[in-house]
Amino acid sequence: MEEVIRLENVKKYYEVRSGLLGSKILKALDGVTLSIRKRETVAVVGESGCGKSTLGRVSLRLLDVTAGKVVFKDQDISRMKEEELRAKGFRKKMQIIFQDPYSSLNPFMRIGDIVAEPLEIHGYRKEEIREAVYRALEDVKLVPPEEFVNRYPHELSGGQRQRVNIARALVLGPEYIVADEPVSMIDASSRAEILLLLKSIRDSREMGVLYITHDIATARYVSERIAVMYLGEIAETGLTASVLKTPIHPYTILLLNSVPEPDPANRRKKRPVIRGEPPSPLNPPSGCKFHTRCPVATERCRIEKPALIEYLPGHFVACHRALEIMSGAVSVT
Amino acid sequence: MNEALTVEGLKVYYRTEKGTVRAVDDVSFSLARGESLAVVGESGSGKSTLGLTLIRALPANASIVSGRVYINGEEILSLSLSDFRRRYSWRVISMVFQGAMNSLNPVLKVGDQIAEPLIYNGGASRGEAQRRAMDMIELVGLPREFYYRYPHELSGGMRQRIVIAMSLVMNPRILILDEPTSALDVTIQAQIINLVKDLIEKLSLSVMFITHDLALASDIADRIMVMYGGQIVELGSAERVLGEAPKHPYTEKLLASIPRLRGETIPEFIPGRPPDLASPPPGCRFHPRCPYVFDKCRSEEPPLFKVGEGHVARCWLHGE
Amino acid sequence: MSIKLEGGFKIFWSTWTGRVGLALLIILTGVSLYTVTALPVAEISSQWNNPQYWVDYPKSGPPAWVNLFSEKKLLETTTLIASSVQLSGNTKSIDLLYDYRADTYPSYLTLAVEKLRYTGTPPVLVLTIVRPDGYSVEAARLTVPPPRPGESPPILRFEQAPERILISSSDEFARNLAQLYGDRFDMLVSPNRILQEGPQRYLMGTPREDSITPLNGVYRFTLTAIQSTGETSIERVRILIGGEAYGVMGTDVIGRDLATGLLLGFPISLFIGVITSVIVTGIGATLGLVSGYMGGRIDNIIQRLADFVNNIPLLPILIFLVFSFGAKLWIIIFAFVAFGWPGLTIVTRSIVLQLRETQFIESARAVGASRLRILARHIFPHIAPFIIAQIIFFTPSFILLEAALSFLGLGDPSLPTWGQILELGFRSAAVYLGYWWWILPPGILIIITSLTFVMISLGLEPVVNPRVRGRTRA
Repeated sequence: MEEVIRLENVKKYYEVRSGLLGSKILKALDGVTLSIRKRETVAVVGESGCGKSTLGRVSLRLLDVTAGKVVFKDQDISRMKEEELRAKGFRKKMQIIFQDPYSSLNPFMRIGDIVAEPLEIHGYRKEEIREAVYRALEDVKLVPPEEFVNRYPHELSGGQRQRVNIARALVLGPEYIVADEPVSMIDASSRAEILLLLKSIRDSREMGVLYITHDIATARYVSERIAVMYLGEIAETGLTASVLKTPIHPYTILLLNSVPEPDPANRRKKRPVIRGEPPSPLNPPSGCKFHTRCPVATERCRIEKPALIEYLPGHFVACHRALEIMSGAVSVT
Repeated sequence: MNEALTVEGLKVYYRTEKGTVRAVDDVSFSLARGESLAVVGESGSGKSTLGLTLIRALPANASIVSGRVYINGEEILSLSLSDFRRRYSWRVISMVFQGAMNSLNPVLKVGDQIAEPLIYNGGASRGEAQRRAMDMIELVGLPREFYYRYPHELSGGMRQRIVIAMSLVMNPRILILDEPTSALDVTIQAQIINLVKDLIEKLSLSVMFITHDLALASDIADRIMVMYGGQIVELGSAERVLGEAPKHPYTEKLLASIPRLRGETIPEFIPGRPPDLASPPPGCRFHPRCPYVFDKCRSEEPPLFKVGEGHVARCWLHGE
Repeated sequence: MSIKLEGGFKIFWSTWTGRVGLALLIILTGVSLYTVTALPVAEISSQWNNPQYWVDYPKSGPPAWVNLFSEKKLLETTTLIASSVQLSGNTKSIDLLYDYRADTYPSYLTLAVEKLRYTGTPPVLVLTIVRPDGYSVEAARLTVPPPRPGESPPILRFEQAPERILISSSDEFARNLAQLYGDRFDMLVSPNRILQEGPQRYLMGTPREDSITPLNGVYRFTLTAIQSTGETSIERVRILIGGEAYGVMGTDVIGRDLATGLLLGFPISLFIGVITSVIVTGIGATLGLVSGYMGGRIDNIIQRLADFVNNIPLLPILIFLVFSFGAKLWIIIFAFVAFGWPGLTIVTRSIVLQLRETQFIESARAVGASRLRILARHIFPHIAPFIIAQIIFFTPSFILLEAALSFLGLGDPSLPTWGQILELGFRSAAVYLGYWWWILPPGILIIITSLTFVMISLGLEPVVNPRVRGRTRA
C-alpha cells in the first residue's frame, strides 16, 4: 500500500542551558524510523517525556529536524523552510489534532471561522469555503452545521470542541494527520465516540494517522500498528495485535501490566509497577536506556545498546534478552 | 457508633453569570470507619464540590443551601470557620487537592511545607516538626533527606508523594483524595495507588477517593458512589456495582466506555453531553442520554431505589 | 469578540468603582466638550499670560458665593454695559443703574468707551453719578479728538482699543468729591486724602460719626455727550465697579478668572493624559508584540533597549529637554512617550511568549498561517483588552506627571493647566495668605481626574484578569 509519511533515523536535539555557562544536549528523539501508509493508523505509546509529541511535530515539520529525513510521499521535507512548506502545499496535506480541546481553539473566534481559517489562508473562494466548512462539520457530526457556525468555543462541551478541532484539521483534505492525545482531556463517556469518528473519517478519506497516546488501551481500538517509545527511542514496534498479545520488550510488558481494569478484586492486591521513574533525558543511561528500571537487565544491557530486530513477522524489539523472554526462560513479571 | 462521616441532604449551589448552578443537589451518604469510598463522576458531576464542602473550603460564590455533615457525631457545617480549622482541619479530616503537586511553593523546601501546619496549627517546636516531617517523608517512600529539596528538584510522582505526606502530617482519621493521579503516567500512577493502599492499611484511614476513572476506583474502593449532575445515581459495594451488573444505566454505560486491554468488547460511548446544572432537564437528569428512557423518566425525578443489600440506584427501572 | 465585550461590560458594571469611574469620566468629558465648544479657547489661551487682558478683574479675589456664608458681604465685581448707544437729537445722555449692596467699597472704578462715531463737532463725554441720597458728582470728562486732516465724517475714534479712564485714580474726580463733601456734609477733606483712601470710598459712602460708612442704594451713572452740532454713537460703554469677589471660582494674583482657567484645564488634562497614554501604549505594545513573537535578534535588541531606557531617570532628562527646547507641550509629551514605553513592552512580550506556546497558535501554524496573520488574528485579540486597560491605567499617571512637572515650573506656560495654576498659587504664597480658592480647586480636580481613571481601571481589573473574578467550580 502507498506510503504517506516516512521518518528515517530522525533525531531532534535541544541545547539546554545548565548552570551558569554550561549547556547540555537534550536528545528528545534519538534515531527514530517509522512509516505510515494510507488508511493506516500507527499508535505511538509512551510516558510523558518519551518524545512522542516531539515525534509528531517533527513529522509535520512544526519543528526542525536535527538529523535524519522526513519524507512525505517521496518528497524530502526535512530541510524545507516554513514559506516553502506553505507554498508547495505541504501545510494543506498534513494536519494535527491537539490534546487540549480548551486551549487549541481561539476563544475569540466563532466555530465557523475557526474551521474556515485554513481555507482562507490557502486562498479559497467564499462560496467554496462555506460549503467546505458545512461539509466538515457534518463529517464530524456537529449537525446541523448552521447551529454551530456562529457559536463560540466556550459554548461547547469538551467532546464537541475536539470535533471542531478535527473538522479544522480535515477541511483542507489532508493525507496525513497527527492526533496528539486527542481524547485524554475528554470525559471518559465521550472518548470512544471521538476515536470511532476518527477511525471512520480516516477510512473514508484514506488518510494516514499518527496516533500519539499514553493510554495503550485506546491504541488497541484505533491502530493497526504500535510503536512503544522510551526516552526518545522506539523500544518495540509491530502490528497492534501482535504487540498486545505477545509483548517482548520488558518495558512494554510492564506498561501493559500497569493498566488497571475495573475489577473489585483489584483492591486486595498490589498493582504491578515499574520501579523508579524515567531517567532525565538530559542524562540518559548508557547501553539500553531502560536498564535502570528493567527487572531482567544484565551487564550487557548496561554497556551495549540493543538494535531494533525483527523477532516476529513485522514485530521489532530493541532488547538483548528478547529471545529468552519469548521462550519463557526469563520472566519479567 | 461506626460512622466516621455522615452527610445528610447536602445542597451546594454556585452563583454564576448564568444563574444558580446546583453543583451538589441533595446528597446523603456515610463513610464507615476504616472504609474506602470512591466518588466517581465526570466533569460537572459535583464530586469535587462535595470534597471541598467537607473540609469547608468552598470558593466565595458557593453557598451551602441545606444539609448537615457529621464527623464523629458532631455537626461541622454549623461550627464557625475558625473553630472548624482549629479542631478539624488537618487533624481530623484533610484533603489532597487535585493538582496540588503543581501548587507547592517553589521557594520553600518541601520539608518545611510539610512541617508548617505542625508549627502553626499544632503548636509543635521546630525540631519536633522537622522530625515528624521527615518521618512522613519516609512513610510515603522517599528518603528523609528529601526534606531539604525544593519542589522543582522533584519529579511529578515524588511531588505527589510529598503532597500526600502533607495531608497526613497531623494524623487525620479521614482523608479525601481528589484525582490524586490524574496528571501522572500510568506507571507512576500505579506506584502512587500502591502507596495509598499501604497508607490506608497502616494508618487505618477512612478514605473518600474522588475520581472520574472507574478502573482506578476499583483499585481502592470498598464502596462506590457514582454521581451524575450533582446527584448520587448509584451507591453500593464495589463487588455489586462493578462485579454484578450495575443497576443504573449511567454506571453501566460508563463501565462499557472504558477501553480494555483484554477481551473482545469494543468500548461504547454515551451520546450527548452532561446536563447544564443551571437548568437541569426535568425528570431524571440522565434521561436525555439514556438508552432505556421511557415516559416517566422525562417528567418525574426518580428517588434512590433499594436494589440490593446496601445498594441503591436512582432509576425508574427499579421502581413502580 | 462581541460576546466577550458584552460580558466584559457586565462584569465592569457590576463593580462600584467601575460605575463611579464611568460616571465621573462622562462628567469630565462633558465639561471638556462644553469648554471646547462654548468658550473662546484660542483667545483665552493666547491672552492667558497677558496682564493687560485681566486688568479689569479684581486681584486675588475669592469666589462671589463666599458672601452666602460670611457675615461681612464682599463686593462682587460688576460691569455695567450699554451697547449701540445713540447720543443724538434731544437724548444726549444715557443712564446706567447700579444697585450697591455690600459692606465694602469697590476697589476701583473705570469707564471704557469702545468705537465711538461722530458727525459735526467733536463731542465731550461727561459721566456724572447720582447717589441714592440725591447728590450728584461729575466723575469723568472725556474729550474726543477732533478730525485729522483728510478725515471725513462720520469720524471713528477708539477703534483699536477701548478708551479707558480709571475714575478711581482721577484727580479731577477727587476734587469734585472734596467739593461735594464740603458743600453738603460740611466735612473738609483734601483731594489728596481722597485719592489716597480711594475716591470710590467717598463716592459710595456717607459720613457718620466722624467716619465714612457705605451708602447702599441705587446709583445712577449718566453719560452725556456735549456737542454743538452733529450726532454721536458709541458701540459699547462699560462701567466697571471693581469688587473684591469675582465669579464662581475667584481670581488669581493678576486678576485671571480661575473658573476659565480651571475649565480650560479639563480638556488639556484629558488630552495630555489620554494622548500620551495612547501613544505610549501603542508603541509599548507594538514593540512587545514584535519582540515576543519574532524572538531572536530583534527580541534581544528591543529588550536591551527597554532595559536601558527603563533605567534612565526621567526627571533630569526632562529638565535638560525643557532647558534646550523650551517648555513646550509637545516636548513634554515626547519625553513621556520616549521614556514611558519599556514597562509595557516587557509585560506585553511576556504575555505573547505565553500565548505563543498555546495550542491554538500552533494550530494556526500547522494550517500554514503566516506570522502576520497569527499576530493579527490570534495574538492581538488576546492582548487587546489588556492594552485598553493599560491605556486607562496609564492615563492618570501622565496627568499627575504633567501636574508635577508644572508644579516644578517645567510645564508649558502658554497653556493654563491645573498644575500651572497650582504652581503660580504656591509661588505667590497663596497658602500663607489664605487664598484657598486658588489652591484647592486645581488640586481637587487633579485628584478627581486621576481617581476617575484609577476607578475605571479597578473596574476593568476583573474583566482583564479573570483570576480576580469569583471562581466557579463544579
